[in-house]
Amino acid sequence: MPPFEFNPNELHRLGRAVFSVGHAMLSDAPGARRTRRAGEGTDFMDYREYVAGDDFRKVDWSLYGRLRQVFVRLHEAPRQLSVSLLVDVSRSMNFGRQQTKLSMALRVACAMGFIALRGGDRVFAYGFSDSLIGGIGPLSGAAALPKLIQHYQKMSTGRSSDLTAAVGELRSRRRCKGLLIVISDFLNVAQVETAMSRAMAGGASVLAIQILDELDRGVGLTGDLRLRDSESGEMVDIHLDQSKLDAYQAMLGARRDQLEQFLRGRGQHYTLADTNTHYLELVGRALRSQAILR
Amino acid sequence: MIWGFPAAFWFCTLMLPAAVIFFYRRRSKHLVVPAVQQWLALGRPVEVQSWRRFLRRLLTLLLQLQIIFMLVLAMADPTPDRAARRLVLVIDVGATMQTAAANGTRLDEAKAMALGISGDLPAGGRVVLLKASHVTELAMPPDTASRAARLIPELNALDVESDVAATVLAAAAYMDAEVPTDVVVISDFSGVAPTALQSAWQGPGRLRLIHVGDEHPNAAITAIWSEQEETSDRYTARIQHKGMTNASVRVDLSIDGQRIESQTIQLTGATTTVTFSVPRVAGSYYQIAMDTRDALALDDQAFGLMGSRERVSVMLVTGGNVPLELALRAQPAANIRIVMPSDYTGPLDADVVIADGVTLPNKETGAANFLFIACPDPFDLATIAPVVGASGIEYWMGNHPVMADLDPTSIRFGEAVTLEWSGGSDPASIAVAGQTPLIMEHPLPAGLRSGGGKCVYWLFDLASSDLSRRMSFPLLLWNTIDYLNQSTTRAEDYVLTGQPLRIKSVGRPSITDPAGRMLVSRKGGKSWVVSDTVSQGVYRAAGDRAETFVLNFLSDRGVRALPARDPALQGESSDAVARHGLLWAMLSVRSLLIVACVLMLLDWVLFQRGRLRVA
Repeated sequence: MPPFEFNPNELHRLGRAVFSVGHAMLSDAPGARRTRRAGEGTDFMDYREYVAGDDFRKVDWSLYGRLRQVFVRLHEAPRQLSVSLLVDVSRSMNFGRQQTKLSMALRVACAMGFIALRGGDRVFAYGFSDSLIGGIGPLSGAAALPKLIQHYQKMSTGRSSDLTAAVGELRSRRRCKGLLIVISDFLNVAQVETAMSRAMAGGASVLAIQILDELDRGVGLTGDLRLRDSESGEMVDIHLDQSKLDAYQAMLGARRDQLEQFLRGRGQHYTLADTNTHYLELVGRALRSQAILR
Repeated sequence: MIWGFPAAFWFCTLMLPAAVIFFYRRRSKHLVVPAVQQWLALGRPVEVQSWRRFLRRLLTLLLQLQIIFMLVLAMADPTPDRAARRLVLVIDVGATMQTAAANGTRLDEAKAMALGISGDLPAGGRVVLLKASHVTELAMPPDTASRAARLIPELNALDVESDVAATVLAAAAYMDAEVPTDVVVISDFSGVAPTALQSAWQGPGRLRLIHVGDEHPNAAITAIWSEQEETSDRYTARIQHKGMTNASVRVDLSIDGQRIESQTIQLTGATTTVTFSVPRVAGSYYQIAMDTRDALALDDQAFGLMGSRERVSVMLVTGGNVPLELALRAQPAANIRIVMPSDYTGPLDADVVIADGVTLPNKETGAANFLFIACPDPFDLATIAPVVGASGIEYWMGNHPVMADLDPTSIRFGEAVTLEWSGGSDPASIAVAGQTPLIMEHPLPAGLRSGGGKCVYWLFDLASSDLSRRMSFPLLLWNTIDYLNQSTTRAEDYVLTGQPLRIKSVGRPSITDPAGRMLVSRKGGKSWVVSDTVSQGVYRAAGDRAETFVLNFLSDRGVRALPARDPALQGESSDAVARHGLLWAMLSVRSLLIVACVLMLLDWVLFQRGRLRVA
């Protein structure tokens, strides 16, 4: 993987972001996220009438003195968000004119990871191609960022993309619960909807980030071409003119829209990125605009 | 048209764009993209390759190439280029082949060409080597190319004018109808135009004319003569040149090898004459030589014999005729004997007997021929008849040697003698005035002398004409004498190279050429004849007496413009045999298959590499 690092300014900007997630995504592990569930936290939440079996130590005797009724004190139980990063490291991600999709994906993944670490969440980092690759975590604390970056830099690329198999393995590892951030181009990924459904069934809240390049959109292609799939090796001969290019881009857009509608229709999130876009802009604008970050 | 470079060139030229277009249409930019899923609906999936599709695709290319091939074939009307198995090499060894060239002389270039051509002969081929000089000489009968390779370097140019045309005609005798034969002529063609040879060629084989030599400035002595005066002699040379206008040239006169005088002349116009007037110097021969350092040194010098030479012995039988005597003595090269009619006992050793108005008293002929002036002959061929009047010559035989260089119309004749010819006589009129013959001739009666002879009759009275007062008189007189003696009136002191040298000697003379080489002579009539006269210079004969002869090239071939080179004449002749055999057709198909295989391999490497699977 090409080496990359974050400069302090970027980290500063990233450090101010926090994932904005629902309570359903939080795990039972104690964390820093306030919840409306009573637990063993230190923050007072509310009173409740005493019922047989309550801990006597939680009885608020001051309130009894005033109201001559026995009430117990309830405290907040802050929980932790599990963020799983799943980056597509197949061959199709090795394309890009200014920067490869993979390079951008890794930056975005690390940026997301840093946001989660900074926010007290725990991070699990994976890659996927034919199957789930690698796996590190749980990482906690901002100091784990170098470890996260190093993990992705050492990750080898695969050939094809099988998101379904990767999600399946995640579920088997019980790592699906929480926020699942899938970063891919979703071009050679078969059965994306199935994979997403399985992830959601496993308790994941899915954030799909699709990264595309100009080449994916057919920009600059013209004439007689023999296109060869980078993963499957399948070839197609095409005489590309403007009409066919428009048709292709329409098909691509339709497929993207289909994926987006699928995810949004199920309360999940989807965002589109371009390799020409700076990853900070993606993190700052796109994700904030979708209230994924705040 | 012989199948060869032009047709093959056009086929390859047309094949190339066809192949380029074929591959151009099949070209496509190969691009690896992340995914082709979305492209599949818009393009044509590249299916699993099959041999049938592969071959079918190439079949169209082969078909196109075949069509082009057949078109070129139809236009070229090709013939199998049958390799000659016999080669007749005609190499010009004339004097102009000594002209300097880029690599030595023209003959050196010719020899190099000949070696190369004979070396290309297929194994088992035969070479005939002919030398084209003043005669055709067979240098080598049909033999191997290796032997020709040994003989060709030994060829030397001779100091003669070559007769290439005669040698080419002789080459036809070495053609073999069964064996493909090429006749290759290598020459500078200074004496004959190549187109003339091509046009005249009727042989069954192929005639190739190979031109050697380039134009060079050259000056040549084309004529030389001497004149004797009282105490001095004049030696004159005529010089022609090309490309040396206004050039200053030093000309030397030498006698017996000693330089006597030099002059520096400027070559102006096409011809320049240089004359040396020197006090009489004793010697046997003189030489005039130019210091030009031009391309051909041979024609920069010429030789001549010193002193008067007895060309003809003339016996004048007259009672006295001063003009006639003076006219006879005008030729210093003649031995004149004047005899009174009463003292005439016969021709003795005279070559020509002139009877001036007298009838010879006897019929002795000896070895002489006769001129009868206004008198009959003693041989009963004719008798005198009455005198008639005559004005001037109205008709004459213009090509007769007696009338050479004459304008007889200005001569006035007063009276003419007529003759009555005896039966069986067949005189010929050389010049007539109206119906009156003025000059006639008749052969000597056959019974009088073996070998024949001639009689010329001047049927006019010299005293009644103004002929003796004209410059034409000595000319007419000596034309007649020379005609009777079969010699020329010019006082040529030399023999041209290539012509036989005749030496009068009782015993066989010993003759050496300018290089000191002994020459062979053969008896020819009263003389000994030497035929090996191919070198310019001084020849010495030791027979009855020591004699010196000089032979000159004296030709303007060195200053003639060479014929323009015609590339078409360098290799091919118009005599081509067209045969469309099965073997030739198979050769064509094989060539096409080779091309097809190369194209298939190219297609495989460029387009099918790594992706070929059997369906």
